[in-house]
Amino acid sequence: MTDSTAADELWAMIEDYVSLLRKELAERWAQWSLDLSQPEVFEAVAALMARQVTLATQLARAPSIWNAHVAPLILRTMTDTHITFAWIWMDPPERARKFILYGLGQEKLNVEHLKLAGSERQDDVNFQGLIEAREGWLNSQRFAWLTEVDVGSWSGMDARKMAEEAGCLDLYRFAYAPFSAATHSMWQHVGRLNLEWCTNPLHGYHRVPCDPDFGSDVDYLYRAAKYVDKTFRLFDSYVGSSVNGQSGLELLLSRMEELFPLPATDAEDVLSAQENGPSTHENGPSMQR
Amino acid sequence: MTRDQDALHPTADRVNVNISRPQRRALADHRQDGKRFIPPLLQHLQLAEVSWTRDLLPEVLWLAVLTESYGLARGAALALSVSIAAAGAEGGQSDLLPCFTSFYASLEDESRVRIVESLGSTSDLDDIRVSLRNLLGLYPECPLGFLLGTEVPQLEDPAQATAQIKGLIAQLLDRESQAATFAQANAIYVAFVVGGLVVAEGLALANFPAIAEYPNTEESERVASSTRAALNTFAAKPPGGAWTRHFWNRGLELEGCEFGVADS
Repeated sequence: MTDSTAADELWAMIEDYVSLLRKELAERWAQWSLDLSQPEVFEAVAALMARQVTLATQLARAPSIWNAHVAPLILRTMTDTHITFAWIWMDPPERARKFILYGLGQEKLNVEHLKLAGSERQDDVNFQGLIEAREGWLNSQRFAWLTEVDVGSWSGMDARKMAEEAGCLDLYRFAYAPFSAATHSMWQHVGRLNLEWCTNPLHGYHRVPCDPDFGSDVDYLYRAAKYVDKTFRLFDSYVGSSVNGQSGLELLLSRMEELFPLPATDAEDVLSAQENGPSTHENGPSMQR
Repeated sequence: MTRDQDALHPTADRVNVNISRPQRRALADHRQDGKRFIPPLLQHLQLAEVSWTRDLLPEVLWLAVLTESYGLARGAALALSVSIAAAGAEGGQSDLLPCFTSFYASLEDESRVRIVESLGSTSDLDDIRVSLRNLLGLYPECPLGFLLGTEVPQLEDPAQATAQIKGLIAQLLDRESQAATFAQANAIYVAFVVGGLVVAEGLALANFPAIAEYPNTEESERVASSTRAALNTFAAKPPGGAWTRHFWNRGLELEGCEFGVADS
């Protein structure tokens, strides 16, 4: 297979995956019997599920960020989104409302900060327009003067506790927490990826800054696909929805098998690990070829 | 693959996912104090940290140079010769053993002269000067420089001198290497003779001479382990004196950084 053919195949896989993922989202939404007396429930859940699709499709269409520098930022957000999604589903009317009110409060706080900054920029039409737009979005849902601002956690607990309650503690331990190191640029990330060793003994083997290029590792796309599929499955379990035909994850797995064939033993190990416990593959072997 | 095959698609209701795995808790042996988890050793001991690379290697490098020049036995004898001459000298850093370079940093001039005179009455001084010339030429601010007399040595072949010291440091950076172990052993030898180190019978360090066989016997490995542990107790408190700080920064003046696979 020539390089151009391989690239074409890869992009075809990506676009087919994006299309299928969006179709899965639409089909699930269509199967959900709406209750417009509880718009907060449906909108919070729908937004989070769509968010997972967005994160997966945006990552899919950017192979240049399928690396340890950037992909974890998106994957961590996806795990966070799933934990939030799962936790809300445990008591949708109460928790969806809490989720939305908290967000509105944060937006109100941001607008107030902008107004303070904008007080010295009254002639800046664009800046004033930005404030107006953001405040308009806020007021269209709830008047700002009736909106509380909470600077604590929106759920009243940390992500770990939410994950534990929602039955996805392994996702927290083996995906959310490790990927958080990249998100927050903590030492266990930057010490590995943005320092390299000086090998001169006269310097005592210290480390110096670096910005290395990494190749694209399709394993990050696989993880994104796994997380959005995890969210879809959770939705199905609560709503009783189902989607006919191949899922986005199944499409990706079959196409990846053609483009990046694994040795048989590796595939068996992967499947076995997932059957016996999902956590072992969260940090599983790279599928890069 | 059908939708019923849940194996690949764990959902939130799979809360019993860990049943097949042993129920262990991470950090089970740690004591929790709020959000901190304290490891067992730190629960019972107040530890002071000393770094082999940063704090001890610069102190015993001169011992390694002597050993490299003359072998373990003669190198140890020369180190002891200097240490005995220096023990009790006016101005020596009293909380350090004279096997450490920093001991000599605050010596009175008269003490330095007496040490050199004492060594000069034997053949040891010439051997010491020949061996340490490259080290003291590359690191002119080394507190041991007085051993060469009043002048800073002019190195005939700076590149060769740098290569020698760099190669030796490369070995010493592995604290368990033979070169590093022998340097530490010579320091502990000094501690035995002039530092008042006493060891109870039956302990590994009581069989100190066995270290000469390192790393070829199990006994020598046991003695070496005890030697390393014992040396930590003799480190400066707090660590990080002027000499150790100067030593590594001088390395930056001598050569630039290198990248790629380090030579083993």
